[in-house]
Amino acid sequence: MKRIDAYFYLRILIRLVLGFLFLYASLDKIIYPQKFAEIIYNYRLLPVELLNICAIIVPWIEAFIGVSLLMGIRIETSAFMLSGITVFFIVMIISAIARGLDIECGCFSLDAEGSLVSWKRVIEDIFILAGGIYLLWYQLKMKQFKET
Amino acid sequence: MDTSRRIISILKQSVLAIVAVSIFAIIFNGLSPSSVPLITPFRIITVGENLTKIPVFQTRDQMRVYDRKNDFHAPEEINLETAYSHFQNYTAIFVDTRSVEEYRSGHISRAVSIPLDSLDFNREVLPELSRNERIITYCDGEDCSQSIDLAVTLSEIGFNDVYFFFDGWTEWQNAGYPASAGDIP
Repeated sequence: MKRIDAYFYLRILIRLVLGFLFLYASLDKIIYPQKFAEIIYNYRLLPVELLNICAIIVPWIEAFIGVSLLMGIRIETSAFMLSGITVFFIVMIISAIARGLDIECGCFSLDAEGSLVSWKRVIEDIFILAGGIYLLWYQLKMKQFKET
Repeated sequence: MDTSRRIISILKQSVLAIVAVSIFAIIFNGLSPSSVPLITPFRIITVGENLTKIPVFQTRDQMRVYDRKNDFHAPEEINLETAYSHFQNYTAIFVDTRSVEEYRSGHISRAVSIPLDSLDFNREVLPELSRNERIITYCDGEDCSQSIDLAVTLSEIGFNDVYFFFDGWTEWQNAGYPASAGDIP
């Protein structure tokens, strides 16, 4: 009989929560790319010409990560991508805070009433990053264990 | 397979996934009703002595409705004295581009509030105004480009006589010119 370790259900929960969050975060951005482009513009980090193409591609990468995690397909790859993109988000938010920009985060929704960039957003993203790294670490460890 | 090889394999898979997802996203954008141009259109505006690229955020459909390629009148910067002269002579409408909260706490007298976020291309903007009306947009702080962004947006949808008053609220207050607080009467 297959043995289930103590953290089996915790890992499923982390995977589903992260998957749901990423899929949810992508929806508004996919529907309204021009609004998302405007939010990226406010961060003042990208050349103007590239705003639209980023607003087109980034939400679909989020959706891909979300669906992969929800369905449990290629967990190590999606956890790796999730960690990478979350590090990128954290850097963007911290740089906005450091420059004193009072702008919409564009993290989960594009509402004008949505949340502004803040340390709270950074902490949320650090939790997401921790979840992604844990899933990636476990997948790597398990594969190594199976091979030995 | 050792861990470093495993990580390289994950890296390769991630790059492959990003390329595939990007191609899919670009195709989806081409077919979507809210499709946007892949390269962001922009206008070049003179701010002080510098030329600044101001992006135009419109879907392809909106760009068709507001086809301003040939008769676009680029908004120009306006200084405190000229802005005040228009204020005194009632020859311009002042548009406050800051948030509604900031507008309520204090604004140039008679200014209307149009926060940049609230501007919706699908609705008629300022329907009661003629497209030839002189408009002066302003916001607050030297880092604030909302006045320029909104000025470009208004020019983009057909207003012909638009100016932006950079760092306007601060300059207006320092000069002690008429200001009000609260909602529009």
